[in-house]
Order: sequence, then structure tokens, then C-alpha cells
Amino acid sequence: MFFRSGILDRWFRNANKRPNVPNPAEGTGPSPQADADPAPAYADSAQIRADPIAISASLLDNLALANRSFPQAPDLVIRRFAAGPQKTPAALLYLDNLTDKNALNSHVLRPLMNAATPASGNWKAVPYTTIGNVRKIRYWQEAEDAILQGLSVLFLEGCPEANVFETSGWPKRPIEDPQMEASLKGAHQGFVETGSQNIAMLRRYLPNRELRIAEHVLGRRGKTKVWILYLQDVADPSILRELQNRIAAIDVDAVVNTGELAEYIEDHNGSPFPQLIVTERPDSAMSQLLQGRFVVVVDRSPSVIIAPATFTTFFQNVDDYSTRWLIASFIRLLRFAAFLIALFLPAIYIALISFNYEVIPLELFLSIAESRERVPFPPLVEAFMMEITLEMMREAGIRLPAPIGQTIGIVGGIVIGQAAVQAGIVSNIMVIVVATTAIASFILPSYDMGTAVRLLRFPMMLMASLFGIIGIMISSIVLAIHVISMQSLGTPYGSPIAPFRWHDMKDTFVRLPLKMMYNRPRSTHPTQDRRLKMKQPPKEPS
Amino acid sequence: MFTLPGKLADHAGTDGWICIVLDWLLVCLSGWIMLLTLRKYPSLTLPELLEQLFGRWLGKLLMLLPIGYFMLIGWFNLATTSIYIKNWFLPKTPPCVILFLLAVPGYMIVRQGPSIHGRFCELVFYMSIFMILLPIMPLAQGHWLHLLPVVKEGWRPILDGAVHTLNAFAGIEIILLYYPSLQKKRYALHGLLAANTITLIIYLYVTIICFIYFSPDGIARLDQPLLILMKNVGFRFLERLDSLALAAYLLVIFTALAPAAYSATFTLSRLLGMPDHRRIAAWYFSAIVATGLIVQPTWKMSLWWEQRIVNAVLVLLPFVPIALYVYVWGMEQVRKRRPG
Amino acid sequence: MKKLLFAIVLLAFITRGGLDRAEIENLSLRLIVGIDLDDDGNLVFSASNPIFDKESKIKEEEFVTRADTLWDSRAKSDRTFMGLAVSGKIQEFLIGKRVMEHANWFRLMDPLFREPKNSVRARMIMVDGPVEDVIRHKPEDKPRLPLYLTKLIDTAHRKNVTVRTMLLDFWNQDVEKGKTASVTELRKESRLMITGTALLDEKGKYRLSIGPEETMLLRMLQNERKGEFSFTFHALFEPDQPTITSDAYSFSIDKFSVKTKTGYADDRFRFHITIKMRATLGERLFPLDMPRETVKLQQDMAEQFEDRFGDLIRKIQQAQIDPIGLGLHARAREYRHWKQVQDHWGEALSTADIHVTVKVSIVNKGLID
Repeated sequence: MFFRSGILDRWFRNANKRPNVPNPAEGTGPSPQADADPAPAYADSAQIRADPIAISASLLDNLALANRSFPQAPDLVIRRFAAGPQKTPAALLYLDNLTDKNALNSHVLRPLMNAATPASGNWKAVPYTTIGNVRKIRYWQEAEDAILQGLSVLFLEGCPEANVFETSGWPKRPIEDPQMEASLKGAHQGFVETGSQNIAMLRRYLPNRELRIAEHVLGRRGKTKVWILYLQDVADPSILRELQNRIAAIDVDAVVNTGELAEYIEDHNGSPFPQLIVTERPDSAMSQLLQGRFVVVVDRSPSVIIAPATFTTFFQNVDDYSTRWLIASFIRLLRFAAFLIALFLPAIYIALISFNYEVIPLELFLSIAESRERVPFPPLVEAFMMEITLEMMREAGIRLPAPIGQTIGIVGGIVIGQAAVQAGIVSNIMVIVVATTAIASFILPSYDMGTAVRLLRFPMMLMASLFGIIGIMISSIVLAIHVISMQSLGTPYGSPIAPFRWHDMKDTFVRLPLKMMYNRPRSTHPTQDRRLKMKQPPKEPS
Repeated sequence: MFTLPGKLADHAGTDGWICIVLDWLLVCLSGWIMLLTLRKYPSLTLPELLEQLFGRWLGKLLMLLPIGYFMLIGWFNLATTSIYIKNWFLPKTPPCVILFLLAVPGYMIVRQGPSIHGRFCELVFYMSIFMILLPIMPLAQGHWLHLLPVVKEGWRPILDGAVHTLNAFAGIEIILLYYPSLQKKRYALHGLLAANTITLIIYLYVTIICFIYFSPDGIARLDQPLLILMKNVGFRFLERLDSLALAAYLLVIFTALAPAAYSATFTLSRLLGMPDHRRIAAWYFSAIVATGLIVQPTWKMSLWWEQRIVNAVLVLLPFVPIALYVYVWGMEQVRKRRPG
Repeated sequence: MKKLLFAIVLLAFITRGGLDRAEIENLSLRLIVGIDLDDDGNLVFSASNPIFDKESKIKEEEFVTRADTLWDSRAKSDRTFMGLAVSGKIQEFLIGKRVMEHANWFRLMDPLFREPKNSVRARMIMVDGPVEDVIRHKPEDKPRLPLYLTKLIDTAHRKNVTVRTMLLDFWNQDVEKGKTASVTELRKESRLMITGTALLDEKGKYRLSIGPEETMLLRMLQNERKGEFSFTFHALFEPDQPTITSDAYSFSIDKFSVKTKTGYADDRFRFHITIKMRATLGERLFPLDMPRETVKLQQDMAEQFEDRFGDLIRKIQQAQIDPIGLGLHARAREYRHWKQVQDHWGEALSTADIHVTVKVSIVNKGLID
């Protein structure tokens, strides 16, 4: 029976019901009519925001307004000077350390203060500035937003408009290897906290006119810029619309980092599994763009979101494509095996020990029984104790500085484990099981998926201790049904396993040679299929 | 599937495998006739079809029959599974707890739509396909001679066996409910034949292996020959695989449960005019768990119900499609003659 | 609200779970079970369980008791064992010869097939002597008794010194009308010795024992090709010299094929068994011009084989049993005649005409001539 996800699917889809929020005006810049309801803040600022104020022609009025809008901001610099040959009183407002001093001084102040610079031809012959990006604004709200974002605003006496100069330059981090996603052979560049730099990096990877960027602004106070990047001729427009709708529906104070945004736009918040890929690597983002996915860059955050994602994308890594395909396939299979081990091994151990002893071969049975004889706890308590201790050690290891962290790992693992066995608190089989599980859960390349597995282990162990193998079976069926019924922005989460797509299998459990992957994966519904055509080299005349 | 070789041997001896082939033929034919009828009304769901054929009230009444049948099948499935689990894995756990354990994923999958069922069935198929290879291992100790001579006692025991095991193939009536939602109706017959043939191959495989391994004099006394055979299957690191095989079979059970329970709850919800079937599904599964509290499912009860279901299927599979087709054909003839 | 209700229901059900839990260190695993008859004719059951405690010096404990059935003995043993007695991993069943001399003794094994958790992979052994001696045998230079016995029997089986019949196979053979059962035979002298195979009749009653070489012949007739088949013959065409046995030669059979033709004439069954063997020469203590006289050796082997087969078959027919499984062939080929005699097949076989033809070819004579 062949069904397409269409009408039936939408009818039965188990999506989070989203509240029907009317789209607030999404601005691509400071908008004149900003908020319907004022946010309570300093009383003066609220009044100012309530009705749009135009920039007055009087410089002193503007400066008074500035002082009222930024009541306790000692980093606001008001530079008054005389501009142009006619010595017009002018004031340049900017926030210290949010601007690029060099650009400000050399390209704004100097030409303006220098009477020798040729006149701009407009308004009282104020000279041109040599800065790249200049805008004119009429309303105070825009000026305020501009100053808050690191631009500098020039007020001239008698001019009802202000000029906004692109002089933003804030403290930036140099580009380094992303920590959580180290790769052996891939690029060692990671995204940084400035959105425009990240976009620049992506443009370097895909210098293609089809790469489109849609900009949104999120958050009333945060005013975080969010960009959606996609390839126009490859990506599915319906998914784009869905993504944009979801971003537009967010109405919060601020979106601090990408993780929060991911939580706002994902389909199933209650599921332990991640539905959006969050990555810090531009090369990985680029390959996803080529497959027809969307990249969401969030300003001030070094991670980007890749949507839509399926279950198996969390097992893929950039390194798979830089290494040879045989070894890459082996490592992929290893990852899936690790996933199963990390999820099931402690539970299977508990189930076999407590319920189904006849499956264990006899010699192993005798040695396990001997080692368990001295332990006073039932296997579930033993397992929980060990697992929770391991999790605590892991979390502790993250916060400690590097040299101590390594030592704690070794000390904790070996010494404490050994001592615990000798004291008779745990059996040595348990230590092996827990250690293997821990190692297996580190293999997964995606941090979110790894934590999902770590979390799911515990209910699995509980079910195993209550109902044995049947408990494990039922839990896995529940998990499987849950994964299959999830959607990620309209694409089935379980694909290409369920619905089974033979074509996408070339890159799921194994990584077949690149020559065989001439079409894009179907799970992203790309509108343009072909990605590769190997040409035969011309035959030499013999 | 587990009791099939035993029952076949009981009726027909080692020729029981021929019964399976006969059953397959019958079910394919019956499905084909159903398709012939349904093709005349391609876009009507079964309730609408019945209404059109028999009038509003009679149609609604007749609709209760398939609903009841599917609900019974769903309940029977879960009850039998809980009996198996209780016998093999958890003898001391109260049956309502086991039913609850089964009802939770059952409800989870029934509340989704058929497309999710399809994905689940695909997934289960690929996950359990390797299990097929496991019973090959004890084959070396078997004797193919057990199967000879063929048709030793004549055809009558074979027909007898075929009649009594027809319910192993019963599932094809789902097509009555799913047909209107199919997108590629031309392939309906192909799908039907493919599904039936897969079932045929699996049953034949299991039955023949059991016949080869066990002595023909003894196999009729065994309740679940396949599982007992699996007790002997093992590797160096896992000794007995019977419990694991049975646990893995749970997956397959849910694929059988899902369409039956879904069809029942879905049609009932349409009949009652409810927007979706989820509430009815919740009530249905709660009712199943509650029956576990009230009545302890026993082996005897399961056999009794199985007998009833076998009888129902015997009526359903051969006769109902023919009757429906004849009725529709009759109506067409009448309609043709009516306009002057 | 609905979710809260569900959570409460879930909790209520989940807490009723865990009733079947039994951790392995709390189990008393019966690894060997013995059944014997004492002098008064009462059933005596014995069980050997491993001890897991590191504080104890010995590795296993035994318990011998008089009881009516297997179930009864298990219940009685719960009074002294530290854990729940379970039968999920029984490795060996030691049945005393005295027990096997009664018909239908196999019914004692009934619970092992009824309860799903019980193991059907136990090896069936007949003990020529008191079972208790064997169970209490604790040699210091060997591993635990259950493991030791298992290895012993498996190795002997691989060398085809004896058969290895698991419980389920035994049940199969016992129920099967066309074949009678055979089990390993064990005796305890100063150490445990496998003496060969014990053959039983249709009702499971003990009939006769055969030694290692005859076991190999029997396995060949059964067409069981696993394991090693090695023989030492005395050449018939060489003069018998009293010094170091210099008319002897040894060989092993790599491959052989058995074809059984079944017929019925003159009110009795006729079986014609043709065995083709390929031998590898292992030892030859007399000179022989191999390239030209190989045929002579082969003929000698064939003749001797046919004699030996004939002797074995005569023994079997005299005992009115059928361990070879010729009944299966009879049922497959001559069904109508089989039906008449199926309930007393041993008797019918004793009047049957069984003829064995052997053809040997030496494929490998080793490194020297």
C-alpha cells in the first residue's frame, strides 16, 4: 500500500499545536511604528517609545533627547564639533567600544572636521564622509536603535534628518577550531559570534548566486538578527515558508543563543531527541545547504541551526567525506552500534541477570555469579549508582580546567572503580558495562543526540529491572514509534529508515563512494536533483 | 505462527505444508473478488459504500459487523500475546499489568494514521528479516525423509487442515477499509499478492523446518514447535535464543495489531461523527486492560475464542466477497433495466 | 488533566512489576541431575549445584534424596540449597542403568518439556553403576564436574567414541516410531570413563551396549558425518606374525556417503545400504607396494567393513531395535507396509533383510610410500 505524506499525514500529525499568533511587524531595520504595547522600563524611555518622535532640527533638543534616552550610560560619547566649511554645529553620538575607532576617526570625524574636504552638495555643504555605508533617518527610534547597535549617528544643527554611519566594531574572537566538533581532516575554522562574519564564511564556501539570505529580527529587547540561508533552486519552498512562519511567531524578550531558538522552532519540544542540527562548522553547514537544507545563523551565537534534520543525520560527520569510503563506512556502522550499545547495554545486563539467566553461556554465568555474590545491592541499584557517578564525573570534568580535568577522569575511572569493586559495592562486570556504555556514548558526533541517549538509558534500565527482556522490548517499541511519528519541519524524522528510501541509504549506514551519490538525498525534498556528473577523461590516441 | 505446525500436523500429518498453499490460494482469490467489488466504487470508504448499497440505516447497522470483528481481532491479538508473555517470561506478573504494557505502545501507534503504520511495518520488516535465518541452524539434525511420502493419507486430511488453519492468513479483509485511501489503485492487486506470498513463504519455511526437525509422531503433541526448536539454537555468547526470538516477535505483533485496531476505531469514530479516532482508541485500549483485570486470560479461553474466530473467518473469507460482488452486480443489472 | 491521570495509572501498574525478578546469585542452578534406583526400588534423585560464594572452599554441592518425581525432588532440595532451585541450565542428566532397565522411564522427564524456562539441551548419559558415585566425584586436577563432564562428552562425541543425545533429541527419538534411542554410556572406575553407547528399545528400555568402534559404525550407518572416524584393522592377506603387530594398519575416513534403498518383498522389508568411503591412510606396519597394490588394501578394507557392519546389524536385529533409523526410510518409501507394522517396528526389522555394501578408495597415503 503506497501512501504519500499528504492530506492524511497532516490530519494525523502529532505536531505541537502552535498558538495562532498574528505576525507582529517584522522589520529589517528600525521601524517607525515599533511596538503595540510598551514594555515597562525607565519611565522616560517608555514615554519616548510610546509615540514616534521625529528628529528635531535643533541640535540641543536632540542632545537633550539623547540624554533622556540613555540616562545611565556613561559609555555614550557625544562628540560635538563644527562640521564643514560653514562650521555647522554637529554632534556625533556613539557608544564607546561598540564602534570601530579607526573608521570613526579617520573616515567620519576627519573629513567632517576638515574644511578642505569637498562639499557633499546637500544641506549646508557638509562634506562627504568616506565611510562605506551611510543612511539617513528621520525618527528618534531609529537613531536610538542605531546607536545601540554600534553605529554612529550624526546630528546637524538645523537638519531634521540624521546620518547613520556604519562604524560598528565590537570585540571579536579570532576564528578557531570548534571545540565540541573537532575534526581530523576537515577545515579548522569555526563560526564566531558575529553573524555577518559567519555569513561571510558561508559565502566563501558557496560563492553561488543561488545562495539566498532572508533576514529576521527576533526579540523585543534583544533585537537579535537571524538569517536563513538556502539555495534557491534546490531547497523546498514550503519548508522555507514554514521556517519563516515559525521564526516570525516568536515573541520574546530576547533570544540569547542558538539553543533557545532551536527550542522555539522545533516541532516536538517534549521529545528527548533533537530535531534540528546545531553545528559550529561552516563546512558541515555548507554540505547541508547543498543537500537542500536551511541554515539559520543567529547573531551573537557561534552555532547555527540546520533544518530540517532526520534521525540519521545526527550520525553523520564531516570527516566521513574526507576519509576513504571503506573506513568511513566502518566508522559509520561503529556509530550506530555505539548508539545501540549506549542505549541498551546496561538494560540488557540487568534483564539477563535478573530475569533471563538461561541465555548467558555457562562459564560466563558462573563468573558473573561469583562476582555478584559479594554485592549487597540488586542490579538496578548498582547500575544506577554507577551510572549516576559516571554522569557526575563527566559533568565535573567539563567545568574543570584542562589538566585537572584529565586527571580526574583517570583517577575517577580507574581508582574509584577498582576500589569500589574491591570494597564489594559493585561487581566488576558492572564496571565493565558502565565503562563500555560511557565510551560508546562519546562516539556519537552530535552532542544533543549523545545526551538524549544518556538520558534514555535510565528509563530503559528501570523497565528492564521491572519486566526483563519484555520491558526492554516494549520500551524500544515505544521509542521506535515515537521516532517514526515525529516530523522535523514537515519531513518525517525517521527517514530514510522509515519511510524506507533505498536511495538515501547510500549515505546512512555506510558511505558509498562519492561517484555513486549523484543525486541529492530525497528526505529534504530538493527541487533540483542532480549534483554530480562524472565526465570520462578523453581517451588518448594510442 | 507458533502453533501453526503443531495444528497442521494434528490434522494432516507431515503433508500439512500443502494446507498452507491451499489457504494461500483461497485467500488470494477472496482478496481478488473483494477488489473487483471495490473497483466499482473507487473513492467510497466502506461506511459510505455500505450506505449506498443498503440504504442509510441498514448500512450503518451492517457497519457494526466489521467494527466488531476488528475490535475482536485486536483484543484477541493482545490477549494471546499476554498469555505467551506470561507463560514464557513473567509468570508471576498479573495479566492486567502485562496488558497495560502492551496497550501503551498499541495506543501510541493506533493514534497515528496509516502512513505511520506503513513506516512502522517497513521498519519492523527490515529489523526482523535477519531472524528468519536463525531456525536454519538446527536443520542439520533434521531428516528430510519426514516429509515423504507426499499425500500419504489422501486429500481429505489436507483439506481438513486447510480449513482449520485458515485464520493464519486472515488479515486480507483490511483491504475493504484501506482501499479508498490507496493512491496507486492499479497496484492494489500486486500489493495483495505480494503480501500474501510473503506470508506464504514465511509459514512454509517455518512449517517445513519444524516438520524436518521433529519426528512426525511427536510434533502434534507440541504446542509451539518453533519455539522449542529455537531452544536449541544458540551461539557461543548467547545460549538459548527462544526467549529472545519471542521477544523480538513482539514487534511483528504490533504490526498486526495496528491496522486492525485502527480500522475499528477509525470507522467507529466516523460512524459516531467524531472528529478523530484518538479518544475512541484510548477507550478501546483501556477496555482491553480492564478486561485483563476482570477476567484472567487463560489458554483455554484463548483457544475458545480462536475457534470462534476461525469460524468467523471461514464465513468471511470465501463467502462475503462473493456475496458482495453478486449483490453489486445484481444492483447494476437492475439499474440498467430501469431507465426506459 | 488527562496526562496526570495517565501518569497515576502508569505508576500504579509499574509498581506491580518486578515480581518475577530473580537475580542469578540468588539462584541455585542445577547443573547435573541424576536419577537412580536404590536397592529397594525407590527413585533417588541427585543434583549438583555450583557454589558462587568466594568464602567457600569447594566449588559445588550435591544433594541426594528419595522422591517420587523430578518436581518433588526439586521441592525437597529447596530445603537445603541457598537459592531457588531452577532447571534452566542443566548440563547433564545421569540416568542409572537400573532405571533404564524399566520401560517408559522417560516419563520422569515430563516437567522439562512443560515449563518454558527449562533447558532441553542437557546431555543424556547412562551410568553403569551408582549415580551417586559419579555425582560426588570431585577430582582435584579437573574443573567443576558439570564442565568436566560436558567437555568429556563433547570430545568423545567428536571422536565418535559415543553419541551425544540432548534431551530434546532424546524425546524426538523416543517418540519416533521409526527409530530407537541411543545415549552415552559412562562408568566410574578410578576416573570417569566413557565406555560407549547404550542402545534402547521403543519403550526406552535398555537393550545393549556397544563399544567405540561399533559406535563409529553405527554413526556411519546413520549417515552422521560429523567428527572423526578412525579405524585400525588387521590385514587379512598378511600372515599373522606374533611380534609387534605387523599386519595392522590404520586409517581415517574423510568423507563417506550412504545410500539406502528400501524395498518390500516376501512379507518383509529389504534394505540395501551402499556406503562409499574415502580413506586417508594413517599407519601401515607392513610393506606394500602402494601404487600397484592399493586395490588390494582397499578391497581388504571393504571386506572387513562389510563383516563388521554385518555383525553390528545382527546384534541390532537380535535385540529387536532400530538405532539406525531404517524405519524412517521404510515410512518414506513403503508407506502402506510401514503402517501395518509401525507399532512394533523393532520386531519387523528383526526379520528384515539388511545388506551393506562398502566401497573404499584410499585418497591420501601420507608423506611416505
